[in-house]
Amino acid sequence: MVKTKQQAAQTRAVTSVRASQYSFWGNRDLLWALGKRDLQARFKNTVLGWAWSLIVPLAQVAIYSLVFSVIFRAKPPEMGNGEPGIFAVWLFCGIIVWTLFAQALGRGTGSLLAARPLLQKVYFPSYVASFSVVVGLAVQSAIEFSLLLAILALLMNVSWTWLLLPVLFLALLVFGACIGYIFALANLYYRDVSQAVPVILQFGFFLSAIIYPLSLVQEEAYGIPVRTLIELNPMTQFIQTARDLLYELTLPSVASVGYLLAWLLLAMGACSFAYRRWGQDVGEMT
Amino acid sequence: MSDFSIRAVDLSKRFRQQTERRTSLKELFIRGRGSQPEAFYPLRDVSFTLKPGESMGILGRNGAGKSTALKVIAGLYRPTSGTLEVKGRVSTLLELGAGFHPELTGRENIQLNAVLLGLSRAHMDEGLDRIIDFTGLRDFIDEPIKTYSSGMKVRLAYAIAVEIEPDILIIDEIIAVGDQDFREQCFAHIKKIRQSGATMVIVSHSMATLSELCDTALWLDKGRTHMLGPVDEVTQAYAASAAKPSTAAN
Repeated sequence: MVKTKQQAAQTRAVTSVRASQYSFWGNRDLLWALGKRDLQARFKNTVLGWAWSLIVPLAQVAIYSLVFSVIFRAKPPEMGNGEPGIFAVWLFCGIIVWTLFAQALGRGTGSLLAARPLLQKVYFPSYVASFSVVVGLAVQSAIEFSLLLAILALLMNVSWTWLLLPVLFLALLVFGACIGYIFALANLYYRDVSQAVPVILQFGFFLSAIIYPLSLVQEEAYGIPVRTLIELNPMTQFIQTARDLLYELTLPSVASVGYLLAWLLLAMGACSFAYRRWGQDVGEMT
Repeated sequence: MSDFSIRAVDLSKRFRQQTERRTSLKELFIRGRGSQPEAFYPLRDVSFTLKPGESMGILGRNGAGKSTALKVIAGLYRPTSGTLEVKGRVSTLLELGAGFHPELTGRENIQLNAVLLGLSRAHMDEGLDRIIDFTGLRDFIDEPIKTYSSGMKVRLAYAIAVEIEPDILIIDEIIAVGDQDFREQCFAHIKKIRQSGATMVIVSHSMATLSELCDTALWLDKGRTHMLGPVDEVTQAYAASAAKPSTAAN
């Protein structure tokens, strides 16, 4: 890269602003309003409306339960209360966690492209547009979790470990929001990203130990340490932690929690770096 | 510390020519990374200070950098070099109804847009009825706005815009839209916002508008400050130069 004289002579640009509108907290109303718009607009002109947000994951649970539980006769782990496991319930728990992440990534990737016309006219930090997608998803996911908890309660499979669900939920939301934002930024520069995301999610779904227990995976295949790789997938750990807390009613291992925490911090760091490096120029991209 | 609302020192904005950007892998492969694209400065070393409550107009020919200046001040563009200090909440009216969503109802759109323009949720709850009354669209307020005529949409957007109580208001030519009656109403409201103590930055091609709404004016030419001073002096000088097109050609 050749630097012209002009560039070398430039002073550093400094923007100093004293107003709440530039902070995350100062934009919480907007975050919520945009999330609400997302939700309100999504089910407009549908007869079943909000029911769709439950039908989709339940349909997934039904089809995978049929294939894996009925045809392949997969055995789910025992429930925390000692009763024999129920594949559909065990699967539902994993599907909820995965759906939240998959949608945060899937919808998040297009969020900045969609919000760009707005970002060219009204100032707000670009991450607000992206994070608002996750706000909408959080509402949807909370409904799914409520249904799961209701089912587990009916099965008398309840414990104090449930109280830790909000912590896991929050971590998952932040993780999804950060990854989604990074992909959304990348998608502004290279539209290839939005083409690649469905492929990534397809791989992610089958490599996240959602529809099979990790114990079923062989250590090695074709010289590849398959189980270790699947274990290293952060989504496997998120899903396992959710199942520990809600289904098996145990505490997740320290290693899992530490590993997830590391991923979370990594995602947040990368997200904050991406915002400072590229995220403030979204309004001027044409 | 001196008291100011907006202070810009040697503010510059550089754009890279978009056509030079390598986007596809194929292009990258064939032509390599090559040299840096040609730099273009829509804004170059512009300095000014606005005290709280002061109002500045920006004028200049098409392509002089007026809109870029507004967008830099509004925070939409990041300055390439120089210092920009802004104190207070900025509301930007570059386009009425910027965040309207066609599938949402009038009421839902009011709620969203008010937040976008910087109204707090508390203010919104209290002001929603007043805004709806002001639109005169109460019978249609729960219909999706894709069913609205363009005139209805403008009324809706406008009713929200006049509710804002910004510390700093940035306006780009919106006074030019609508019929005579609407323009006058809009004008009166902007004056009211000014009287309430807001600092304003206004881009307009209308010298009359600028004279009436502004204290000072900044004349931009090819991104540089051509003249900065009391509004009447600048507008007169600008009008005089516009009468002699030969100077512009050089």
